[in-house]
Amino acid sequence: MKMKIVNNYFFVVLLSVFFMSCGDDNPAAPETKVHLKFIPTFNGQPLSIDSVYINSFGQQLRVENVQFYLTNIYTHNGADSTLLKQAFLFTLLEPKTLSLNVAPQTFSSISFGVGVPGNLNKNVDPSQYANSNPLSVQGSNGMFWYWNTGYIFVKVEGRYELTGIPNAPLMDSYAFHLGDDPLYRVLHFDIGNVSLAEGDARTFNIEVAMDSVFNRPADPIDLSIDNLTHTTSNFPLAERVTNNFVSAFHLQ
Amino acid sequence: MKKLIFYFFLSGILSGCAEKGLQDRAVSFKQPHYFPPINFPEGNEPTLLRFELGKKLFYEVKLSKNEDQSCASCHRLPAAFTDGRTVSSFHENKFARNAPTLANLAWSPYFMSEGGVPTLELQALGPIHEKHEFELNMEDVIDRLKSRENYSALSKAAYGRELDAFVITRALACFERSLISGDSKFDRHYFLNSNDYSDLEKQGMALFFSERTQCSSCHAGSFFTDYQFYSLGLEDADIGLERRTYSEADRGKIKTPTLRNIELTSPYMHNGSMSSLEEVVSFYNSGGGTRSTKDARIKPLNLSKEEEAALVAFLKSLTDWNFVQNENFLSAEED
Repeated sequence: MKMKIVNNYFFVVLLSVFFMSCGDDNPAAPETKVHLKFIPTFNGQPLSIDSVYINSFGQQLRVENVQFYLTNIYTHNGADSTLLKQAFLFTLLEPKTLSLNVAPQTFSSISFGVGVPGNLNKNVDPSQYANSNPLSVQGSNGMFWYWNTGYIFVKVEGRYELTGIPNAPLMDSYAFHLGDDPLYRVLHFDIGNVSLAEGDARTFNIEVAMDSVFNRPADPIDLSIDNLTHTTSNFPLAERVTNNFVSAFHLQ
Repeated sequence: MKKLIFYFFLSGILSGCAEKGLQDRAVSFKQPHYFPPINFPEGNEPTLLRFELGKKLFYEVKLSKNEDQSCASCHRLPAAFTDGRTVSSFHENKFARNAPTLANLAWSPYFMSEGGVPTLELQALGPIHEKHEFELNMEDVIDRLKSRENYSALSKAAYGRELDAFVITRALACFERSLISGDSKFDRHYFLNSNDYSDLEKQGMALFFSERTQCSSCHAGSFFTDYQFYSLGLEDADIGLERRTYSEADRGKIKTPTLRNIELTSPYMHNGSMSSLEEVVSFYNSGGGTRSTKDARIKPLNLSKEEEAALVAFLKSLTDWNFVQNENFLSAEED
């Protein structure tokens, strides 16, 4: 029995030395945290899928689904750029803050693509990605076209009615499914100099002002005419809604 | 009897799986010497178990939302892997196009009528997710299949990983690449110098390859397709290649289909609007349709009735009866 206890102690000490040695040989890389929190809004208030909103044409609408890809998320410091994340899929019904472990650094701007860049979009087999990757078959969550392979960059769906009469039921549906290489857009946000030392964390709130999709002054969307595009079915509308959508992003 | 032997061969493999672990081995697909070699994609070279897993999936109704449709519902062996319907339908959902044959897909450079899918592996994802077809997501497919006998073991033995989207798409593609058809009366006459080609078939062949009809300028090569996109002038709601290119000049253009086994794949055209080969030949003879994007080669041919009949006879000589009776392509359940 005594021998067994001694053996056990010996084993524990041996293990401890082993792990300590490991720690000494491979110190964890210093890390900081960057959180990108996406906040969908409508007219400056948090977006609610139950709320009825009015667009520039006096039409009533609900926003029931918003999904979009952000890709190539970078920080920039002068000419130096650091890739934080290759792809992120935002889903309104399951909003997630994108939390990233990054090396200590100083940066003055953040950029990302809205959509999926050409090299990741066309002729790409999503079944090659691990399920945890938002570009995988399962991770893409319906954001992939299979008849003409490529990702749906942005989905905005909901219901509308045209009379504007209060409490009128919203019977008709609209759907904007936006994708294809010409609709990929890159947004760049200057944030002043931010220095993150080891252990620091910084949250950036990014508003996604959904009213811009419908009411951007330069190009409001009249739902009585323009209520459906799967991009190929109505490319001009897809391009207009894309331009409106990218104008919705504001770094707070 | 042959059927039974094949069935027992398969059963032996599959029952062995649970007890001893499956042993896989490379296989080659039998193909005519006058077909070019197949370029198999890296990582999806054919093996016995990949073929078997793909075939099992091809006939698997669990891939569909209501568990009552499989790939074979629209791609039936006796009809050269078409379904005989104007356009395929799934319950209340009607698909927009006539089901294409699956023969000789191993050589196709891209898939779908607009050519928007670059690999057979990727194509396999489409029907599963498509609202007008199986309307299921991959996660549900995998959940369903994991509980079914043998899928997990077959997947590991064939691809060295658990059943997932990667395995499902590759196995289906592997099976589909095996659907090789090149043993028709025409082949035996043209490539093997057989003596049983009738005068009418010879006349039709001469017309088919002539400058006068220019049939073979699009239905070209060993597979009777150049894989390019043309409009025959058919006026319908299908905008064809324009869906991909956004160009009105491409309106109504559809990928040239193969003519192999054409006798068995009626009705014809992308919308299934023609019921017989006689009607198709007559359509071409009269100069095709009226759509403005119609290819310049589609013009009145002034063929006599006898010449029309000769062309039809030639087209019927492209039937590969051994292909459509090949029991290796049937599921064990259908045997």
